[in-house]
Amino acid sequence: MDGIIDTITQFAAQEPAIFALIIGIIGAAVLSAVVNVGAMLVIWADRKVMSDFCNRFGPNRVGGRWGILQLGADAIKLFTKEDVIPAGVDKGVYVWAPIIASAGTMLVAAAIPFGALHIGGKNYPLVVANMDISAFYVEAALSIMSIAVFMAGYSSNNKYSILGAFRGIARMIAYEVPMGVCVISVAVMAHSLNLVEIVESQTVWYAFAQPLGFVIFMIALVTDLGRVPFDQSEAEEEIICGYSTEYSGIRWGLLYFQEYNNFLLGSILVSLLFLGGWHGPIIPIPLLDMVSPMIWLLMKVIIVIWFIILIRAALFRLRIDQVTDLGWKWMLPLSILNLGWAVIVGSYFA
Amino acid sequence: MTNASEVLSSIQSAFPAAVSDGKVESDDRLWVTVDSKKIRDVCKYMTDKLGFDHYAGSAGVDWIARNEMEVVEIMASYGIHNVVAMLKVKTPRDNPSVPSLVDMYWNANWYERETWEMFGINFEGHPELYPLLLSDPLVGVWPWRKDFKGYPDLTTGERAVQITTPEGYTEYRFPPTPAEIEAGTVVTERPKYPTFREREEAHIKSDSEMIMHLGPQHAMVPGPFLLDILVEGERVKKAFLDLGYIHKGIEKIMENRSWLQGITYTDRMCYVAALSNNECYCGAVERLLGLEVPLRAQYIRVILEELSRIQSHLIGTGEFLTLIAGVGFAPWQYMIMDREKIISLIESVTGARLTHSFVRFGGVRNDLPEGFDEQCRKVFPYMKSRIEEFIELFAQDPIYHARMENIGSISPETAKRIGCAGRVLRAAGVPYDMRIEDPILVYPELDFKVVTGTRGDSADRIDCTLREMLESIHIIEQCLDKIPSGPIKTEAKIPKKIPAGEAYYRVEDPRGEMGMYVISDGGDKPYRVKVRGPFYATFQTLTPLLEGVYIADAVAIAGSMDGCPSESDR
Amino acid sequence: MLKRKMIKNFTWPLKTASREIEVTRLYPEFMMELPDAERGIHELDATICIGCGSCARVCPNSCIEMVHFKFGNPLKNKKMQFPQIDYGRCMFCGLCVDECPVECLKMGKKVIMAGWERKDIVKGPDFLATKRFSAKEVADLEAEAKRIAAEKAAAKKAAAKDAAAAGDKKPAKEGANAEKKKAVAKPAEGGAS
Repeated sequence: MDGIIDTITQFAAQEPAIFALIIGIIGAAVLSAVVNVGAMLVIWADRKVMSDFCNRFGPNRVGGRWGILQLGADAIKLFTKEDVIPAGVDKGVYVWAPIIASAGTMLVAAAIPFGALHIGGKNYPLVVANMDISAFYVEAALSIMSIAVFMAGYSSNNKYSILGAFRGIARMIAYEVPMGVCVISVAVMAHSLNLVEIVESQTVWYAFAQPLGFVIFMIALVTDLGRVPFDQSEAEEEIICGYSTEYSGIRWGLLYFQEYNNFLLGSILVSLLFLGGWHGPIIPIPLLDMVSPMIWLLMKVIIVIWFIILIRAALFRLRIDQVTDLGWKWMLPLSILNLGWAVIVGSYFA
Repeated sequence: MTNASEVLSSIQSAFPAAVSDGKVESDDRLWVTVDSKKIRDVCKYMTDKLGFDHYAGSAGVDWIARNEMEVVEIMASYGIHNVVAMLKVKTPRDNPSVPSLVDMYWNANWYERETWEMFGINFEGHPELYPLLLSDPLVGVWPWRKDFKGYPDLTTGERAVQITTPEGYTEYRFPPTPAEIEAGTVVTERPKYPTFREREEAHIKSDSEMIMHLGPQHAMVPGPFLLDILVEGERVKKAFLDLGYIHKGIEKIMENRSWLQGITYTDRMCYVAALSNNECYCGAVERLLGLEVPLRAQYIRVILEELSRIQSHLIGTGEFLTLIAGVGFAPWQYMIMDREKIISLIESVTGARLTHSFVRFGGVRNDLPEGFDEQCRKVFPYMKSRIEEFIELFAQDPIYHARMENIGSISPETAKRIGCAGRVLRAAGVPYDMRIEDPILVYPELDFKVVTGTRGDSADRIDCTLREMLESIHIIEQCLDKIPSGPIKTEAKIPKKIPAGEAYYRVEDPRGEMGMYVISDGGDKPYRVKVRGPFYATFQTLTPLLEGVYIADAVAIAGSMDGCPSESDR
Repeated sequence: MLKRKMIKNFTWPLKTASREIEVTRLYPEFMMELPDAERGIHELDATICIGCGSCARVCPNSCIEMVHFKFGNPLKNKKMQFPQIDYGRCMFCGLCVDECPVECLKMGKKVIMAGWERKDIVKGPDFLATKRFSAKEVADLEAEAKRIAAEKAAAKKAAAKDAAAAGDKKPAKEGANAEKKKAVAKPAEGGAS
C-alpha cells in the first residue's frame, strides 16, 4: 500500500501534466458514472412515484419487489439493439446530437457541488470545478440540451422531429431569460455567483426571501427540462416522440437519459439556490456527522424531484403558443420585478 | 304532430306522378318509392315544408332478381316530429345512376361515395366521387353486388403474384387467366381519378407548407384512420381524411351468415359499445317478425345498455385525456379503474367483458345473477362521487380551459347542417337524443334529462359526456326499482327463415344515433343489412373543423369527438 | 386565471397515493375472480350429448366439428359423435351453448389455453368432456342398445309374420284385422323402443 502511494507521488512530481490529465479522466469517469446512475434512479423514481399516484405498482419484477434494477435491464436492452441510422438523415449531426447532449450534462455536473463533508467544524464542498461564476455557468450549461434537441430534430429528416425541434427552441428561448434573471436575483442577495458561497450565505432560505423568484425559477426549470406541462417538443401524442422519433437503441437511450440527468442536476441546482443547499443540523453520530450535509441536500433534492413528478401526474399539457405567451408576457416581467425586490432587500441587508 | 300517413299523403298530393308504392308501417315509419328524376324535388319539399331537416344516410341495395338497384335515402327530423321516411330510388342494374343530394345535404357526401364504390351506382353531380373505404385496385369491382365473385374472383389466392415496387414495397398483382383473356372480360380500364396522395398534394401552395400525418400509424389514435394535415409552421391549413383501414366488410359478411350468427358480427362493429349494436340489430329483426319482447327482458336490456354507455364514455374521455395531457396524467387512469367496476358488472351478467353477443331476438341470453342489485347499488354512489369529482376537476383547471375552451366550436345550425351525431350535436345545443325521439323498450316510462351544452366546443363535449354518465346511473337505478320478474325470452319460436320485409330501427348508441336497416327476402340469411353508424356521420365533419387551428388543437378536436373508427368503417 | 386554482389537480393524486392501494392484479400469481356467467372454455357432458350437430351448424366461425368419441352414450348418440372445437377460431360467443337442445355443452371459467402449434389448441371431446362414461358403462350401454335393437327387430319380424299370416287365412277381414294387428303391434314397438 505504501509502495503504491510512493509511486504515485513520485509520478505526480515528475510528470505533473500527465498526472493531472489521468486524474482528470478518472474523475470524469467517476463523476459521469455517478451522475448517470443517479439519472437511472431518477427514472426509476419517476415511474414508481407516478404509478403511486395512479394506484399502480410500477416496476415490480426486476430486482425484487421494488424493481430497482428495471433501468439496468432497460439499458442492457437498449445497448443490444440494432444500430439503425435511417436513410436521408444528416449523418454527422444525427450521430453527434446525443453526444452533445451527454457532454452538456457533464459540463453542468462539473460545476455543481454535490454536497459537503463536514470535517472538523468546516464544510468542504464536493465540487469538481469550484468556479467563481458557477451559478451563471450552470444555468447556461443547462441549455446546451436545447442545442442537442435541435440537432436531433433537424437532422432526422422527419416532419415530427422538425416540429419537435422548433418547439424545443421556442420553449428554451422563452424560458432562459427568466431563469437567468432569477439566478442573478439570488446572486445579488448572496453577493456572489459562486454556488458554494450562495449556499453558505443562506441563513434564511432564498425560497422565503424571494418567493416570487422561487416560483418563477421552478416553472422555468420544469420548462427547461421539457417535462409536462411543457413537453411539447417530445414524447407526445401529436408528434409521436418529437425530436427523438427517428432515434432507436442506445442513441435514443442517451437522449432520454440526458433529459433525466438534467432533471437531477436541475433539482440539485434548485436545492442549492433556493432551499439552503446542505444547511441543516449536524447529526451527532460519529461517521454520519461527516456526511450529514450531504444527507440534507439529498433529502431536499428528493423532495424537489418528487414535486416535479407530481406536476407531471397532475397537469395538462399546454400548447406551444401558450407556453411562449406565458414565458414572454408573464414570467419575464415578474422575474424582473423579483430582481428589483432582490436588489432592494439585498442592499438593505448588505 | 305529424305522423307517417300525413307525410305520405302530403307527398303524394304534391308529387302525384313521381311517387308510388307508399307504405306506412307505423306512426313513424314510412316507405315510399320516388322516381329518380324527382328525388331532389321531393327531398327539398320534405325539408322545406314537412320538417325533415335531418338527412340520416343512404343505403344501396342490389335487387339482382328484379334486375335493378335501389338507393334508399333515409330522412328524419331534428325534433320537429318523429317520422322517419325511407325514400327508395330505383335505377336499372346495367347502368345505375341516381341524382346526388350533396348540394342539398352536406353530409350526404360520404354515404354516396360508399354506395358508389360498393355497388357501382353513379351519383350525378357529386363533386368528389372517390373511393372511401376501398383501396385503389378495388375500385370497379363493386364488392357488394350480389354477383361479386371475390377479388378478382374465387381463384384469387392461387393467382396472386408478388411484385416489389420501385419504392421497395411488396404488392400483389393478379394476372388474368387464359379463360378471361379468351372471353374478353379482362378489366383494363379502371375508372380514372386522382389518388388520395395527388388530391392532397394539389393543395400545397408554397414551400413552407407540409403535409403531416396524424395518420394510420400513429402512437395515439383510437383506431386506424388517415388524417393528414397541411400545416404551415404550427397552423393547420387543411385536413384530409380517409377511412377504410379497418373495413371488415361486416355488412356483406352478414348476408352470408344466418340471422342468429349475425348478432356476433354486430358486436364487432363498435366493440366498445357492443350492446347497443346488438340491440339495434335484434330490434330490427324483431320488427320484421312482429315480436313482442317480455317486460323483464326489456328492463334488462336497458340496464345493460346504460351500463355499456357509462363504460364507453369513461374510456372515450380517458383516451382523450391522454391526447392532451400525456400518459402520465393521473385522472385518466382513474377513469380506467372506475370502468373496471362497470365492466365487472356487465361481465357478471353477460359473461364477457367486451364483445357480449348478449341480446337475442325476443329477449336476452342470461338473466341477472343473484346479488346484481346489491352490487349495482354499491357501485353507483362511488361512481357518482367520482364523476362529480371529474367534473369539478375540469371546471377548476385553467390549463384545461386554455386547451379546450373555444376549440372546435360548432353552432347549433352548423351542427344540424353538417350532420354530426351524439354528444357533438348535443354539446352544440341541439337536444336530439334517440331515447326521446324514437323511444324503444321501456324508455318512455323512465325519467331522465337530455344533456346539452351551450358553446359546442371541446370542453362542452367532455362536460356533456360526464353529465350523461350521471343520467345513465339515474336511469339504471329507476330500472332496478321497477324491474318485474318474468321470462327473459319470448315464448314464441323464432323461425329460421324470417318473412320477407324490411325494418329500420334506431338506437341511442353512446356515440349518437345508430340505425340499422335490415331487409329480408324470406330466406334464412339477411338480404341486406345497412348500418348507419353515428361516428361515420361525426367523422365527416372533422375536416372543415380543423381548418385554421393549431396542431395541438387538431388533436383536441378529433379526440373530443370520441371516435371509434372501427364503427365507421364497419 | 386566478378564479380557477388548480388545487384539485394536486390534491387528488396525493389523496390517491396516500390512501388507496394498488389495483393492479399481480397476474399470474393472482388470478382474477370470474363470475358464474363467464364464457370460458367449453365443458361437455358426454353422457347427455345426442350428437345432433346443432352446435356445429350454428357456429359463426365454423370451429366445431363432430368427431367420434368412445366414452359417450350409445343409447342417445347413435353415431357416437361429439363436438371438437378449434380454439384458434372460437370467439366465445356462446351460440353453440344456446343452441344445444339438451344443454350438454356449457362454458366454464377456465380462460387460459396455450399450445405450441395450431393443432395443439384444437380440443376434441376428450379434453372437453367433463362427464363421461367409463369403458364398462359404455359397454353396458352398448349391450342395452343392442338388446333394444334386437327387440325392435324381433317385434317387427313378428308383426310382418302376423300380417302375412292374417293376409293368407282371412282375406275378407284383412282390412280390419290387419289394421287392428298393426295398431296392436305399434304400441308394442313403441314400448320396446
